[in-house]
Amino acid sequence: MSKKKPKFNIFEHVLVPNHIVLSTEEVEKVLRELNAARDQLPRIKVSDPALRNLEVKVGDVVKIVRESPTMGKSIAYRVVVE
Amino acid sequence: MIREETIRALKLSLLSPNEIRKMAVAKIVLPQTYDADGLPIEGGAMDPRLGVLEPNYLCRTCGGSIDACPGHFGYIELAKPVINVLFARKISNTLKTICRKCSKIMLSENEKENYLEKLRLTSSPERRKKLLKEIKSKTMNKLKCPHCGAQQYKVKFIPPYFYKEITPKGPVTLNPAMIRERLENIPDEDAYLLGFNPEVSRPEWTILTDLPVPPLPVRPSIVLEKGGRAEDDLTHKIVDIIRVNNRLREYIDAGAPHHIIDDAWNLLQYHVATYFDNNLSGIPSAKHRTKRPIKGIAQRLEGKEGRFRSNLSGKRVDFSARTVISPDPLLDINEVGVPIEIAKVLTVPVRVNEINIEEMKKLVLAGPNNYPGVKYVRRPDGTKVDLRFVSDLEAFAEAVTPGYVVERYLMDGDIVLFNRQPSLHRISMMAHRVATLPYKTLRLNLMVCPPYNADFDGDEMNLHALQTVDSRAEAEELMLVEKNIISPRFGGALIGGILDHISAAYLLTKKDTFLNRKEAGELLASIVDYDELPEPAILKPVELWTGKQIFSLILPRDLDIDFKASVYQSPEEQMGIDLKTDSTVVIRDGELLTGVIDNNAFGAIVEKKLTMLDVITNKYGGKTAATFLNKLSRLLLRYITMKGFTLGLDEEDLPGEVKTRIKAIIADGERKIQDLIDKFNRKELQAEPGLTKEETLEIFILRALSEIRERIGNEVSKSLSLENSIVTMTQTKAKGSSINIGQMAGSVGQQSIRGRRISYGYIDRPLPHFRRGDRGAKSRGFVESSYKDGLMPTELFFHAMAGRESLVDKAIRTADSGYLQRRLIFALQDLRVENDGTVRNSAGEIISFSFGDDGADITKTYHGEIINIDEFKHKLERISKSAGRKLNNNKKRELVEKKLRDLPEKLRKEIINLFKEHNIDKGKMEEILDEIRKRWIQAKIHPFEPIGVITAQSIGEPSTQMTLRTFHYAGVAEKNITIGFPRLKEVLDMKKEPSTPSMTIYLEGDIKHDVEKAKEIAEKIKSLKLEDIAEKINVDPMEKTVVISLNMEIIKKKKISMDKIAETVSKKMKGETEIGENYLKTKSKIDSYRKFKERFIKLMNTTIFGVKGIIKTIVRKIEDEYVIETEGSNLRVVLKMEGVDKKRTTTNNIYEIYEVLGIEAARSAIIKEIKSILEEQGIVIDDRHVLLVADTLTFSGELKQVGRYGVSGRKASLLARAGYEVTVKTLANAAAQGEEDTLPGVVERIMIGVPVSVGTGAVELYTGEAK
Repeated sequence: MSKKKPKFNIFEHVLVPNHIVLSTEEVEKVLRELNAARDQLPRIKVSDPALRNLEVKVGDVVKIVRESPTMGKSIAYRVVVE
Repeated sequence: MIREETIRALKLSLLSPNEIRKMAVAKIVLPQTYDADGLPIEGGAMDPRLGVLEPNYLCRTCGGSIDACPGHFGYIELAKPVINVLFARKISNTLKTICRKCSKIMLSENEKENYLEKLRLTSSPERRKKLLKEIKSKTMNKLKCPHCGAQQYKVKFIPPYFYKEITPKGPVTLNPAMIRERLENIPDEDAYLLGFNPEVSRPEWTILTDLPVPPLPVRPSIVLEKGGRAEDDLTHKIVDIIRVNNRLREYIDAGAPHHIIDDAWNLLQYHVATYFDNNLSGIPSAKHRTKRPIKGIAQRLEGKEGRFRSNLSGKRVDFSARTVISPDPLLDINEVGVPIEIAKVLTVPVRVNEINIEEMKKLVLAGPNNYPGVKYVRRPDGTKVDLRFVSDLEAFAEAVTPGYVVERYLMDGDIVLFNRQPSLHRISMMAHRVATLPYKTLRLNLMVCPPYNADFDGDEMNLHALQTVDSRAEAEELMLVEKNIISPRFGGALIGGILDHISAAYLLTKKDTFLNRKEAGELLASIVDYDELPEPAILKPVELWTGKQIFSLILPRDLDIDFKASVYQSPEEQMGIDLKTDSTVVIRDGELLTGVIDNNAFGAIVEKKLTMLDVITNKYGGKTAATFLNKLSRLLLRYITMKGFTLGLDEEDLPGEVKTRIKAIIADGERKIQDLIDKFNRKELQAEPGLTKEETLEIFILRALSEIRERIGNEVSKSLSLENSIVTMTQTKAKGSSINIGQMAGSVGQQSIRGRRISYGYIDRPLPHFRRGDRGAKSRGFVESSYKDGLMPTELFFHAMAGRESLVDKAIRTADSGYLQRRLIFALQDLRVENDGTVRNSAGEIISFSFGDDGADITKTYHGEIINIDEFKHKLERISKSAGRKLNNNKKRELVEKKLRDLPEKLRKEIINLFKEHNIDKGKMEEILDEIRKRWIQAKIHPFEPIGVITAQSIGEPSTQMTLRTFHYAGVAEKNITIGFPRLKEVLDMKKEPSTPSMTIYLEGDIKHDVEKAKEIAEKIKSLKLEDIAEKINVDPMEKTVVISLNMEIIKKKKISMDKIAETVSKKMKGETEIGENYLKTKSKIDSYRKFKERFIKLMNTTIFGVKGIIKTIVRKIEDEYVIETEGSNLRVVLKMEGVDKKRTTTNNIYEIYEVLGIEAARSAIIKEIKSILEEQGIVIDDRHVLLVADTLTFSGELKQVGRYGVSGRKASLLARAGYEVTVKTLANAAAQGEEDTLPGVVERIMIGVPVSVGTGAVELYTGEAK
């Protein structure tokens, strides 16, 4: 194994879509639009590797911009949980 | 009294001794059941107060008749308390977590408050479960009580129901009375933390002091034919319990010695335990005298034949029929032929009103013995009259007035459900219109066979007569055959031409088919609903019509479409418009101009191409498509019977020279194989990397053999033309493939078992006809003969072996895929589309923000595409000629971007490009764009669509067709990858490690084009264990020394440092290592021989070099770059290596991706993985389904499997969980926790008998005047 361990940014990996932390206002807007409670959103663990470089705490909502086979791009949200 | 109410929720709890006594109507004390006169004894197990035993008696307790009385509980007062086995484990956990003195939970006050608060706040059952588990692990086996400071002892649970406390003086048995005392003292507050809801379920109630005796209707006795009664298993068990209980009481009263009392107590415990569950491990099950095991309460509920699965989630119905099916091409696809005999049994209730009264009176007059007729009449007051017993039908018919309900026999045009098992997808059950027919079989149009997967070799199907107006309306609107032509799995037609339909259409529409007036007229008449004959294509010397003209008669008037027929082969063969095969189909204004009609035009289940039938169904609707198919069905039947179509033995004859050539090919192949064998025998054969020489030889031989088959196939198909019936069938894709032709005419080819040549049987040979060790083609299952020539005896045997394998394979496959389907359905059944387009489960959690991202209903798409660009191309072609003020390209782009903002960019681009090619004015363009927009919106999936079930079916149904064969050798057996069904199962099971982990490592920058560099990296990645670099190992177990002679060649080549190896060895063996020139010598300080041995084995398996877990690396060229593929996977480490492309490198181990790259990456990986499995198997499932499955597996933030421990285990409904896999345990736990089920999902509602929460069950229809 090589001794040099180049750091890698997992966001560069093709399998990892972009995760963006939403502001409180944005979260409220999203929840209102979806008519959903925070705990009804899909979840992501606070320990998830994709959140490592983001400043998130439990209860935050991240917006995920995925590639979609039907729409080209699609947007999803996940609430950060323990 | 029975009251009728709708159940809205259901709550389980434990019965307290008080409640048991209170709800009982009798105390049961006597072990006898009946007296000398055969009457039930009061106080016995069959106490008459517990319910009505026989008809014509009234209940002693409630006065109800046998139908009205639900029965009443009794109780037995137990002489000593006993454990309720269903809670034995829970009791054990409780004992381990509470103080033996003060019974408080062994948590500090602070922790307790903390957890109580947490439990109060959480509503999710999943979170609750986790918290309780956490509490358990925190409190288990503490040594000192934090409250009273009492010393604690370990409690040992000996299943099924014994408990011992390990005191310093030795183990002490804890009897149920002692345990109960401890449990009684648990404070209510603490009980919550132990998984009890003390308000309804106190912990001590898990220990029985009184036993409820179930009502008689729960355990009815059967009157035997020869007189006497046979009692239910539970009754037997209750009698046993009473008997032992009485004995125990006597002993206690008599002051018998301890051991006698304990024995009796134990026996009572045994009987009570087996009464609840007679399948306990650790004790023998209670048996009848006949040695048949007694059915305990648990056995009644559990399993496939248990109450939950057999009677609650599935129910038996009336008004149904079942018999053999047979084909009737003259029926419409919407119809089902019903024998009069059946129509004379099934009835439909019809409410008499002013409009139908005359008709109904006529039917009533016909009575029950005529068809059509009436079986029963229900008066408005609810009384039901059986017409068989009405003497004066005339008078009775006169008395019928509006408000009466007439149960008339099934008649033509009635809507019924038709079904064939296994019901793998929703189109296994469709609504048909009744057409009564003579004879005794149910009949259907052949085009409806594919969705039912029906044939006529003895298949039977079921028919259900619908009983309410609502159900008939629903069935007609949603389930009618014509509404289900397009598959929700892949968005193409499921119903369409099969077999001779295809051959006939080809023969009718091929170029040289001409029909005279008589023939054309006959065909025209067969269509039934026809126009006039068009102008004949040829006028002189006789009028002749082309087949294409006739076919065009049934096409929709304005159909424009171009496509390639199935007989189309290659561009080379094309040459402009191909004259030979006529395979380019052009239809304009519903006129077939060129091309033949075959499978690609109207075949059923054409997964990979958009057919004309798909376009017709989607563009004109199911009704038009059904009419088209009905007409087509009749037309083709008439044509093929008129012309005749057959297949003769002589059609498999090959010309002499072809036969010679085939002989030569076989001889040549066999020679090649012999050469290989000779080379192998001379030991000149080079082994392929990672393979033995034998394996290499096998692979080369297999290659040579498949080459033989290919060459023969080519020869045969070259020599046969489309005039040949078999070729007609294969080329039009009516049936069969070129392999079948090759096997019939040329050679059957290699027979294989588990993907290998046949090699076992006798010693060193499969059959005694061959020489030992012969590796030649013929002795290893190569069948040289053709089916037509017939097989040699040895060949026949080999053929039978392979045939057997495929039968066994099929049997296993159906069982496996059936279970997968069940699990998928359970995991996904509650998912539905909401009004806002999100997909949610029954708890309201969002699984997907939009089904398939675009929210499309797959049945409204063209193989998944919402917009069929070709359709608009044809439209534009027409408009373009008469365009007014033409728009420029920029304007066109602007217009599209404006009008179609919501559409995906890719589609918008396609549309823009389409418009660029055609002239058009603004008005027309806007019109078309509006049309596209309209289609986009119309394709949206409806709210409450049970999309989970549809997805589960769409994946489960085709999985039956997947190969079970596990392995797949890419190229020359380089690596072994699990594929097909087992791999799909692995992914859905969310296995931590796949059975064949593998990475695809991409390389960075210039390295990816450099083979040498790629190989270098591959070498670096491949792991070497110590045993791989050791040449010789000497172990002296007495001296505890290990001497390892190293393979210096490898060490030098890989540049491994000796010091490092020595360091590893020293560490592992706990000793000093001496480094020699080519050896390492270690003296271990480990004393124990066993430990020394263990350590040594571990040492040998230690990875010295490379990436741990990666066993093999292969450098492969994919397109223009070199890629490293591996056996074994370690994403975390490989991603950190130099030269490795950190962006694209991936693994098939989804769990690893989850750990390294996160949940979203895992989601993407699941999608990719499932798609590649399906593609490799040639199965088409719409992407939207795959997305939904991936979302379901990942929405919780961690990976959840499809099954008990994953998605299905975290359901909100306790009934749904109980109905799935572990019934009794689920129920017991729910009772202790006082769990409530509000019936949010599908199965639980079915069990209770209320409308389901999806589809039409989720909405209500209100009628009345508008306010």
